[in-house]
Amino acid sequence: MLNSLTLLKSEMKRLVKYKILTISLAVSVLWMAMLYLIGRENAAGFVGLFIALDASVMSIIMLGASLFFEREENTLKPLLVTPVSVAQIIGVKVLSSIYVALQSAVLVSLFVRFVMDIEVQFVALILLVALIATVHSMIGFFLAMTAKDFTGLLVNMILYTFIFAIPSLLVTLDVISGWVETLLWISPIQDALVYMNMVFGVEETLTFGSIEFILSTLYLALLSGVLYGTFIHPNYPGAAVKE
Amino acid sequence: MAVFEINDLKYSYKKNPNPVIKGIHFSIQKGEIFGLLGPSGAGKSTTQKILTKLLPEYEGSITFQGKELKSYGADFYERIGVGFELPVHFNKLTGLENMQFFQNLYQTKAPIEPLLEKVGLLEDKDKLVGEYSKGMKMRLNFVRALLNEPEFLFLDEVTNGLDPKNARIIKDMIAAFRADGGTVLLTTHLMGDVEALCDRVAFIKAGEIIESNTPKELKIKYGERVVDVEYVKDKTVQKEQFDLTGIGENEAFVDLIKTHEIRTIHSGETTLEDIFIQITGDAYVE
Ligand SMILES: Nc1ncnc2c1ncn2[C@@H]1O[C@H](COP(=O)(O)OP(=O)(O)O)[C@@H](O)[C@H]1O
Ligand SMILES: [Mg+2]
Repeated sequence: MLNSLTLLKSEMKRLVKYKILTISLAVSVLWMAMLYLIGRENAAGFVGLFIALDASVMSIIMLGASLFFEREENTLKPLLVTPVSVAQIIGVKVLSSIYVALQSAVLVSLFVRFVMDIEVQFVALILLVALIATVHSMIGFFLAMTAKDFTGLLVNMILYTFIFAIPSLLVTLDVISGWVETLLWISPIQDALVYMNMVFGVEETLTFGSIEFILSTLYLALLSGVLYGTFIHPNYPGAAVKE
Repeated sequence: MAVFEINDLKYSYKKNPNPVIKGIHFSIQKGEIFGLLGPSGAGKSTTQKILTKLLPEYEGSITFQGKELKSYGADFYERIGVGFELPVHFNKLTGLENMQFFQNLYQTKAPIEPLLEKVGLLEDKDKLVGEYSKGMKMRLNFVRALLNEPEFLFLDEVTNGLDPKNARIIKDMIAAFRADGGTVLLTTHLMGDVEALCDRVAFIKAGEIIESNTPKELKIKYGERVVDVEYVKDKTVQKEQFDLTGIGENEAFVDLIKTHEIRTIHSGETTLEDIFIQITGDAYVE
């Protein structure tokens, strides 16, 4: 437990040193500027989209890239010969990517709440962004651990984003609907979009107590657990030791 | 007492069905420096990774302090230090920050700055590791292995890329570690390290241990019992070889050293370098 805290503190310090927090802050500022330009009437429809993308795609990139660069620096291996466990190592990485996603989500939300006067459900925002960041960190781990090299990782990330984001876009544009729309629940990016629309009062179809909401939340939690338990945890040491 | 006891150890990497370690036996006694020697690709690093629990799916038995290695948890890592073959640091943290990062994970903490001073890195402790030379990184690797005051040290090619002066400093520190009661597994292909440090060695080739002994016994076993004499005759340097056995009664030899100017006399004691080549059948590359 004490080890986890120390490790988390070190990891956060590392994020500062490697300027990850600064980059994430810059992206948040970009979102805020865009929302400001979009204007108050339409901003509510976009803020959810931006935060959903930030928490999902950015989490994947952060996890995947950091794993990759750390492997390049050879710093994953020595951690495995210290008293910290693999579960702690993975847990700390997920926690810090949740932190980065939350920092961005809360900043942007505070901005739209107090500068643009848009209603925000802050508790739901925090809980759902944490869930979205968790499942996408697991996906990031998965994509990085199955990629041969950095190009492979990029291809994996782009493929993932396209496969899951394009249908969402088509649904938003009403190009597809009906059963395909229902099927889209399996896309974590789609779930992120729907959740954020709820948080910013855009989506009418889903409410917090609804059975669909509970099911998709369980689904995302289960997906994270399955990825972690069947692939990431068992394969992490081998992936970290590989030169 | 044996600290490590390795019996019939076998290992294959997942993607390659051919075994890399083919049933090796050896033990490491408390307080000794044990050298695992062999050409590149022989399986030295793999063996070290197995013993440090980085590769869990091995066959055979390994005990550490009398208990099966697999039964140890995180406590195992409180007791060992691992010096890796390649630099293992965050390039965007300073040398000192890197050491603090790792040390915070242990219960026992050795004072960092004296260690940095010993390896000559104290002045550079606040420099980013990305700006360190290869040799500086390797010295930092060595310090990293000592951060938790381990009782057992694993060192993989520890003097790799060091100039003779710094290599000497590291070797002296390893000897001091042993003098304080520590035990070391040294994997290397550099025979100079071995001559200076190892109490016992095992030669490994293609995943098999083909010879294991003290360096001294090996020299006796593989050395030739001959004496080479270089002397001056008719203003040119000439060479002659004599059998070491009964050299005192060998009249030709006695006569030669009485009547000629002697340039050099060498007994045929081989170096570990020669033995390495003889045993492994590989060219020795430094
Ligand atoms: N991760 C790996 N996957 C597959 N084969 C490997 C891996 N690491 C090492 N090997 C192979 O195992 C053999 C032993 O390698 P290694 O233990 O690194 O040798 P050494 O340290 O003695 O130079 C070599 O043939 C090497 O190619
Ligand atoms: Mg090696």
